[in-house]
Amino acid sequence: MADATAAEDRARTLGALERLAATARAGGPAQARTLPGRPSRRRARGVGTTLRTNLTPMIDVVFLLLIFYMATTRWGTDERVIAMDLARRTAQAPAADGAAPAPAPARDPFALDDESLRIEVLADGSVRAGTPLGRTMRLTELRELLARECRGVGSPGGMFEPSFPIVVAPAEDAPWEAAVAVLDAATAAGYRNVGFERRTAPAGAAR
Amino acid sequence: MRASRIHSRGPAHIEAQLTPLIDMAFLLIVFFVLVGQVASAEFVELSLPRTASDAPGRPGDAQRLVVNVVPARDSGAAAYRLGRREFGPDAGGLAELARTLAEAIRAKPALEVNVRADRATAYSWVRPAMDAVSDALALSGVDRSRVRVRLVVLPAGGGDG
Repeated sequence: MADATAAEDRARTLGALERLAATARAGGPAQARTLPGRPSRRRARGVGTTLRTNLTPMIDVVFLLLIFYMATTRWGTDERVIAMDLARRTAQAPAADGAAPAPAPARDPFALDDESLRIEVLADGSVRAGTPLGRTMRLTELRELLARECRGVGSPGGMFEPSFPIVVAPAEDAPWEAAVAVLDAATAAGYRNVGFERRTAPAGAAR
Repeated sequence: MRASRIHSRGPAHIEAQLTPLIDMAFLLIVFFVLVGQVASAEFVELSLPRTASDAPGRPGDAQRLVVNVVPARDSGAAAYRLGRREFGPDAGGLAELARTLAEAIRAKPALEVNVRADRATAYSWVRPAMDAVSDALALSGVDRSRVRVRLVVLPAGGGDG
């Protein structure tokens, strides 16, 4: 009877050991595989693990974008401006409630135009200075002439006061650069009253 | 026996803190994108006239409107552009340009109006733009001396067109 009980215990112990071995082979709980007093390999590997994003590609792209925008942005810092007074025009104000627009005031036929130096700009870039100069010349010559005849500290015997009105009258087909060059020549010489010629054509009549 | 404090900390672990760098880079990108949009609205690609003197001044810091004469072939103008709006080079387009300018000038009388045109454009196509500005001044009813009108050029010996 005692032998039977001992055999039964032995068989139960063997069965338990076999189940334990089978569990260990199948990857069971770590506690089952670890010996007491020694940390498990899985826990040792998991301690202190932090998730990190790899930022290097993003920084690369960001810097590429930065360089692209810096290279392609136009600043316009090299541009300069010439101040000018535009000719006064009698624009038609919108008529209120269908009323006819007010007629332009009649001009005194005996009124004389202010004396001024009229400089025509031709299509080939040359200029024709009006009275009292009265001749056609190149732009460089006009530049020197205007500087020489502007009465001031540098040329006390100059023909024109700095406030003398200078009217630039470009031809219709004169390039914009030539028109601006004459304006610039007069401004650089020291004249303060420089502008384009007043035209009577209404706005929009470009051609 | 006690270990030194340096060794007790373990191996040195040096890391660069990249967050401020990325923040700055993104801010700069946003800045350049916005500046690029503003610049593209104001500046049409033009070959501006170049002056021979240093008389022209730098553009001021005042708020400004820029009227661009968009060049076409044969020294003509394809359109007139104000900001992002384009106006045809006919009478209707120029009248609309003058009305739009007048509204802007009425809203902000201390404006600066700049006229930009290509160096090869014929004067007959630039004059309507200046006339439209002059008409806008008359339509707005604002004192002419308060609005400054300027022609945009390139200085002698510098810059690209």
